[in-house]
Amino acid sequence: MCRAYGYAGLICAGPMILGVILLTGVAFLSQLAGMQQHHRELLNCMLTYCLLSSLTTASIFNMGVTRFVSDMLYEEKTEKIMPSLYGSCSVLLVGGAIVWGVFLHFSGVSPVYRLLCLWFYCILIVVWMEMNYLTALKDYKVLVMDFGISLGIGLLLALLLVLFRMVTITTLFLCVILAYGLLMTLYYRQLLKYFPRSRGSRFSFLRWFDKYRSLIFTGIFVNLGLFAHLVIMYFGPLQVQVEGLFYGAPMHDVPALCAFFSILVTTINFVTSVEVRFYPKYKNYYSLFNDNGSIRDIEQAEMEMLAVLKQELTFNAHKQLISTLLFIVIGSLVLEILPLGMNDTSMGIYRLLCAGYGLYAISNTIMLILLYFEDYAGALMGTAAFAAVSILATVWQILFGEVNYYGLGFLLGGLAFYLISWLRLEWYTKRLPYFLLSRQALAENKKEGIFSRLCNRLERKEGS
Amino acid sequence: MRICVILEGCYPYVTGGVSTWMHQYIKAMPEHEFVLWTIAASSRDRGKFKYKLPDNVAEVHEIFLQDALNLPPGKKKYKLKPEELQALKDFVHCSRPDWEVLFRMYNEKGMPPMSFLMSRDFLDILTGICEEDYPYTAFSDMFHTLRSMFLPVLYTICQEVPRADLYHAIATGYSGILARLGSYKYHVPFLLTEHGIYTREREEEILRAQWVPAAFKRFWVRFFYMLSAAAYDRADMITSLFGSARRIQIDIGCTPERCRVIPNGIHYERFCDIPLKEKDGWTDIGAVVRLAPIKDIKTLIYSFYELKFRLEKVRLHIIGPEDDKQYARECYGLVKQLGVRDVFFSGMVNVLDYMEKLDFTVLTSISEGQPLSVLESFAAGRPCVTTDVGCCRELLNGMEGDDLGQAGLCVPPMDREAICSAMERMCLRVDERYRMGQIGKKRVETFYRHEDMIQNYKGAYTEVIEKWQESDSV
Repeated sequence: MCRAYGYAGLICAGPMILGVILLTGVAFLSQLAGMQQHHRELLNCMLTYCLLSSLTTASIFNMGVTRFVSDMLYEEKTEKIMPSLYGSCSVLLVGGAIVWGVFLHFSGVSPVYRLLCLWFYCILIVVWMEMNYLTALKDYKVLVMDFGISLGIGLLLALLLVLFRMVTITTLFLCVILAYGLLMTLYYRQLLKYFPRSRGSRFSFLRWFDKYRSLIFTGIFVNLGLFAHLVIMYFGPLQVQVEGLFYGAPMHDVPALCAFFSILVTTINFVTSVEVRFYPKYKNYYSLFNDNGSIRDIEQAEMEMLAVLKQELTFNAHKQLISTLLFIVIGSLVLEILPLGMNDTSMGIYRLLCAGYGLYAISNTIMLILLYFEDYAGALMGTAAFAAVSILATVWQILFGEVNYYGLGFLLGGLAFYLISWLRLEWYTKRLPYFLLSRQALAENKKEGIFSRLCNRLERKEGS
Repeated sequence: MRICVILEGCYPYVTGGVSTWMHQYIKAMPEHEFVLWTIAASSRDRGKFKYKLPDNVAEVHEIFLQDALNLPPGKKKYKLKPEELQALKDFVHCSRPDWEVLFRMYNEKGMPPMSFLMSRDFLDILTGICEEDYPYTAFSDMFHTLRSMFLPVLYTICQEVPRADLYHAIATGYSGILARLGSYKYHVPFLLTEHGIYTREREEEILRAQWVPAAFKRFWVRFFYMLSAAAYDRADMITSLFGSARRIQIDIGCTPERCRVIPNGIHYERFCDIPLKEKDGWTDIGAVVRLAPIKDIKTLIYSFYELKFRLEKVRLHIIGPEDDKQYARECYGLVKQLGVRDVFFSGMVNVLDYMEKLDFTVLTSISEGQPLSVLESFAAGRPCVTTDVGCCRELLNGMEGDDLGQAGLCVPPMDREAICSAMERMCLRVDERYRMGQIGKKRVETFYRHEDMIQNYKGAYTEVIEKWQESDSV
């Protein structure tokens, strides 16, 4: 059941990687078409804003919904899954579109662009939610394939635009919307294949949010930790005002996007190695607890599981370390050659961010393991530290810091995340039986929280 | 004097032998004020008393064990002192914990009952026990079983203690613990008056029970022995109803000096004038019992079925309420299935009136203490056929210093043939039956009168208080 967390871990990295590919593609094409630099920057900026805001909106529901889906899969109540997709999308779309709409209203760009941004944002939210469901199903092949198809068609259309010399912000934006719209439809088709039947309330998943409230915050904090520093930079000395409220900080953004790729190795490694070797041991251990394992069997299983865990985490960290070093050394050489306009300052930022993302990747793996062990408090502590330190340190940097060390704030956040998760895991794994058995109360706590109340209200409306 | 009587699962929530006994007991001591401290399973029973409480009952304090399950986990962390940890360790091992230390922690310092059971200390102790004694038992089952075993005890000792001059438990178990708690808290004596042997009863129940997995039976039994020992160790006086019960108490660990026998008594004068049945050609046998498996009514029906082949004109009256509905239905079914005639289930009736219709009585229980129905039958001059359980043999043949003679026939339990033959003998030898009836009557008049019993208990109170004051002044 907890396996889904592994995939949920991808959700944070996956969409971002896809987004980066999109941005790079669009940037390349717009340059190819000889678009004005200001227009290129504005388009790039609007797309980035849409990506970041939709990812942040979706992160509120990421973990909770993933937990709901995996619980439903475990209980074999698959007919409840599709309604929850409709429910979660509608809640996010209504809430998110209002906030995003207010921002756009005051953003100071032309109404057509505002409309395009809103449209793209809504499509993205649905896509991110669909990805949540598909990752819970462990179907990456479909994820990647469908993405490849839509991206291919989008780029093809854009190429046609280039050929027919019809490249403008609006047409290129429409291309992107079309590509993601297609992706949304393809994912929806896949989900319908998996879950042809749907029955039950669209909002019952909200009850899970009360049960696993800390999971929501964990999801939000990871997202804040990962992206907030980018936004903060828009308000620092590197700020470039593109148009109205659309800002950029290319000297920070470009290195950040490049450095982000360095975590790909660990993300894939988690699924292909940590999961594959650790999960069977983990499952064995838990089933011994539930299905009459004796104390000796349990102790033996715990020892084996922790040994494998330690081995895999060490291995994973080594891989990330090598990958980060390669990105810093070879990446620096490559980036200097590429026409990305990197100077010494952004090279420095790039190196610091590489180290930061490396630490994030390792800590994220540890945090996912904590979630496996149902240590929601531990996961929350780690991610909260990550978000808090990276935000505060970055804010301090843009106020008082030196430009050459930008990126250090995020690195410190990653370090805090790493230290807390690692110590917590050490501490927690020494007390596994205690948390598994002793902390369980005798009777379930049936307190109604804000989400259950919201759920009740929505369900009543649904009924009438 | 203000006496706190501690009752577990009987008076005033259910009717039955012990409950009725308690009710009459309190009524017979108007000079004392009573506080009832009751332990029942579910709070749904709160205030639902089956008896109108006598005027000298001043207060009722109710404890419901199931409430313990809904307790919130204790948030506060407690650093246990070494002696506290030791007491808890002994408690979990079901050896002899220092109950006074536990009382101090839970009753005076207000430690929440769940906090230890949710702690690492508990888990460590349990892991140790499992590694040593239960290496092949399902660990999580063990954990949950033990937790639900210990929680009610810790919960009961957390309760507010009603103030009294003397604590009187009528069984060991949870009541025994509470009596010891009261005695500790207000520094007053406590008295234990056992009707059956609680430890043995629980042991039999556990061994028979289907719901307890075999691996845990030993632990449950140890647990109940621990509870009993807590009362036996400290009670200022321990009474039983008959000699062999006293010997069991001594075997389990009571010091003989503190053990007394105070037999039950009945209101002799209410029964002694009931005339013998007039001859009508029939012999009427009565069984004054609740319909419950422990009374083994099915064996009685089988025996009577066989008796019917030997004697034509006999009737069997089964007199008493349906205590166990399922069992009662099975009994009715058995009568129908055997096609045996002249069996009557009278239900709840006034025994005094019904007794006039009977020639003698029969009791086929597989377990008994000191059955009042036998004493009542004797008082009315009706002899009795009983199984050899509890103190039935003592009642039929007389205890030490009683040379009156035999007042009935004693047979092995569950022995259809023997029960049938004994009933046949009673039916055929009318003179012997009459003689036995008179002996029984005389025996009750001499040894088993309610007034005497009450007098004995009053004496016990006085003695306990005096001894306590003496030892206190030393």
